[in-house]
Amino acid sequence: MSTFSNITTIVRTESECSLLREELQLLLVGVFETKENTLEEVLVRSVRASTAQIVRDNLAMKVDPKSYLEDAIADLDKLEVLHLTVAVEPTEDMLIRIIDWVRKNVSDNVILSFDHSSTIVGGAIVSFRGKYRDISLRNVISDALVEDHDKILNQLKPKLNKQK
Amino acid sequence: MNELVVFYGSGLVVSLLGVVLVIVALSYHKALREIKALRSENDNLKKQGSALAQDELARAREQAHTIVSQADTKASTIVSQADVFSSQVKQQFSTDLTAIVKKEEIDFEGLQKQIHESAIQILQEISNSIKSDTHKSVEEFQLALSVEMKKSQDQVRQSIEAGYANVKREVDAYQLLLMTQVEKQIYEIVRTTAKKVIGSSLSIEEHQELIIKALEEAKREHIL
Repeated sequence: MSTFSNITTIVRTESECSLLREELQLLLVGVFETKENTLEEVLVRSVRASTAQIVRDNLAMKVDPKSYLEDAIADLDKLEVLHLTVAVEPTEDMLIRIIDWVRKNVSDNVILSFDHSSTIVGGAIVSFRGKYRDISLRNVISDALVEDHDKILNQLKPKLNKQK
Repeated sequence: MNELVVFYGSGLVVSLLGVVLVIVALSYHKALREIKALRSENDNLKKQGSALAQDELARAREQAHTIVSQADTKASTIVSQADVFSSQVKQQFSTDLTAIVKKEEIDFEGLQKQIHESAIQILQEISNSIKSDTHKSVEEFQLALSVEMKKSQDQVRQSIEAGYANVKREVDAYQLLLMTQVEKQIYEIVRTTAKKVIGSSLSIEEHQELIIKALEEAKREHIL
């Protein structure tokens, strides 16, 4: 991870990780081709420019392409996923801010996985390393309303009686 | 020569045969006449026999009539003689009959008494037997009744339990349905309340801040 950290830095989400892994697999196949410049052709035609640039920069340091790509794929496989359920589709700014906070406060080896559910109103439901916590606005308000549970039920009774 | 001998021989033989035939015819005619005479004699004899038989029958009737008349007369005489001794015989017969009747009455009474006693004994035995049988039957009936009642009670209890279980399942299902509806409505109220509390809706920046706060709280609670 330490050697090729620049590769993992461009990966922020689970979907980005999957895409980059597929690109590195294509490049690894290109390394095994006997023709000359096959790897370069794959870099030009089959992967994103950002990925191609980082790979070129690393290969310019005279590392073995095969070892480099295999290690990079292994590093990607080691990344941990932080699942977040949020009320809105994350914007780029929101994504940058969240991943910066996570890399700074949790770990560099963490990527994000987002689920979208407007019913949670705001905040997030956090799931990481088998632990789960609902810190959504819906939950906060629900907890607040539990104290008035009887009052709410009394308000609902007429409606329920009508449904009978 | 031979032919002449044969011719004359044959003629002789034919002549002899003709003589024999004539003799036979004459004999047959004589026999027929004798048979006819015999038949006529037989008919005469039958007629004579029949007349004799009728005479004998008439004589027998007359003799029978005479014998019956004599017997009648003799019987009347005997009957009249019998009436002379009838009173003594009747008295003796009456005495004997009375004695016999008395004896029979005594025997009959004894027999009646025996029969009565036997009947009472038999009836008592029958009564005891009936009592015993009845008692036994009643006990068996009570036992069977108690078994059947227990079975019925068990069946009724099982039916009630099954019915109760069914009703409970239905009630539980209905309760679950109501609870689901209640929860949905609670969430609807939560959403409405959230909107009222928060305003019309949150901005992206506010969402971003809420997510960061959620992460901070998760870190404080060691989720991260």
